[in-house]
Amino acid sequence: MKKLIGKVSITSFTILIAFIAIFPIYWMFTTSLLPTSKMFKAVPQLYPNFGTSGGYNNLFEVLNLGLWLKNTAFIAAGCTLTSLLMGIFAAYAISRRRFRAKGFVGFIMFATQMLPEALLLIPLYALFIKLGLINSLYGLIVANTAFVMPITVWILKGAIDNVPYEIEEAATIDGCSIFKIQRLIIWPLIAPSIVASSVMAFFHAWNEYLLATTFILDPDKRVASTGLATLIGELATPLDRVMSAAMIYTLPPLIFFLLIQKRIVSGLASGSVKG
Amino acid sequence: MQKIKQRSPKQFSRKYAHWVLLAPSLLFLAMVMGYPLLRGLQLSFTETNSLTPTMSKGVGFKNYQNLFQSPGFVASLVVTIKYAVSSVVGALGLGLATALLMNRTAKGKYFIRAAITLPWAAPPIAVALIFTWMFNPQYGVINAGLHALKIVPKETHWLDSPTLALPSLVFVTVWMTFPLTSLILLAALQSVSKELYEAAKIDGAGTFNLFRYVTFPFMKPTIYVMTLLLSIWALRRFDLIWVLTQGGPVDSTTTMVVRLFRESFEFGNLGYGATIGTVGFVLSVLCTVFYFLAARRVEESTR
Repeated sequence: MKKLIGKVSITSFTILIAFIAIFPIYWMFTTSLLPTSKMFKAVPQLYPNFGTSGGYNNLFEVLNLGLWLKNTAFIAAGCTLTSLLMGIFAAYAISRRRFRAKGFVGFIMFATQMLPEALLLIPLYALFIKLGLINSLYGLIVANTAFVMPITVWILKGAIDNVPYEIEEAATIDGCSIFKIQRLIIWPLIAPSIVASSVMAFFHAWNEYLLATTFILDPDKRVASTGLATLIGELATPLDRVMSAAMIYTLPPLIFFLLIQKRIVSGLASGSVKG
Repeated sequence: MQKIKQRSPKQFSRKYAHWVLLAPSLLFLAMVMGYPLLRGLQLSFTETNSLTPTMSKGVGFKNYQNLFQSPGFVASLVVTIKYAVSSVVGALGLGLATALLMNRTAKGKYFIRAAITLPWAAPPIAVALIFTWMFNPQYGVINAGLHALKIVPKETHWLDSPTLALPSLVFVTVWMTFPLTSLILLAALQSVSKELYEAAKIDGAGTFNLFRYVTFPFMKPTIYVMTLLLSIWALRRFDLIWVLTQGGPVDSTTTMVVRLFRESFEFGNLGYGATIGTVGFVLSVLCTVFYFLAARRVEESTR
């Protein structure tokens, strides 16, 4: 009897957690396929109208979503690339080399997580004006990279820590340079973590809003987050369309995180569990 | 024995290779974070207006004095602390419960894992969009559901109520942050050795004592790290709050970051804005110091 109660409570708690987690996204999807006539009711229809194309009909012609997504993908890809290029070398140095300032360097990487973006915003804005990076997607890449790269370093360092040093020692004796060792030995071995940190970096930039809304004023260079935010409280766009756009914007990170969630978590956890 | 002082260039490069490897990232961070940080700190001691940025003048600690005498700022400090504490506690509580649940059920684990990926991966702006709609007083699904269950009266206002806006915001925040918290806690849970459990069980420990004396001490370091990270994220969070409530109604959700943004970009008081930012930064640093002190105590007690 006691066992049964335990089982029932575990099952119901499982369902509850899953319900809370899934419902808002389900509701986004449902609303995107709901005609306006059925939307504004005291008792809403709880399932989508599958027969219709709902808000997805002509979506890319009515909204500038295509352009927003293209800009978003561009800065996300740029941010991933620059974060990886710089991060992978830094991670190797912090993981493998012994030097006096190592603790300090590690601290700096962590300290970047403590800085409120908003404090840096004003001086960065001034700096970007000087460098001509306002209203530029490249500027957004630079700004995002600063916040993303330390996370990349954290994940990759954890991965390199797990590669046995003996492999490298043998290569060193054979006369391999430090760069060659990384390229031939380390990188292939930590490839899964490289993928995980790339996905993290990509979608960090994909989701980012504050920097984008400050540094991009030109509507033609809007990214998806700032573009979608303009739809809030704006009555001209019907809700099913807004939710369709939100759905399309949400889908890529959902799919990628579902695919490699385990990798990302183990990458982040290896840093935090070991301390 | 005589030391050989001469080194070949190759040995030299081997010795300092780490600086070569670190140079790009450190220089980059110095330029895009270090320099703006110092400029921001400096700005907080000036009176600078965005319309006439060249006419900036130093005013010493005046901004800081004004700040702590301004009821608006003190209110936003209180909002920030309420928001941070409740969202951290919420995410840790729900995250820990979910982690323990995943650890218990073999079948449910994959299901929950997949389900909680959704809130974690969804972009904050999309989250804000859907919750704005769900919290709608007249047609929102939350009111429809809770009213049907007779929990709330008809047309309850959430995001536009001065008393319920902050709790609603905390709810959305917890929804977004508990998945990652639980996944990382689960990773820590699974590192607890099975033998330890067996031994404790043989000694007659019940479920509660098992958790208290075996599981919890093992997870403590991870819980501390997550507390730190969640706090820092809460102190920094802007996008979700801005799009959901813009700090309203009547400033009931105006956290320090929202105030900073308003002060700098709506009113153009860059110096004053930077002062708020500096206080926020100091708060984050304090959290980190607390963390290191706490972490050291744990380390000493387990030694």
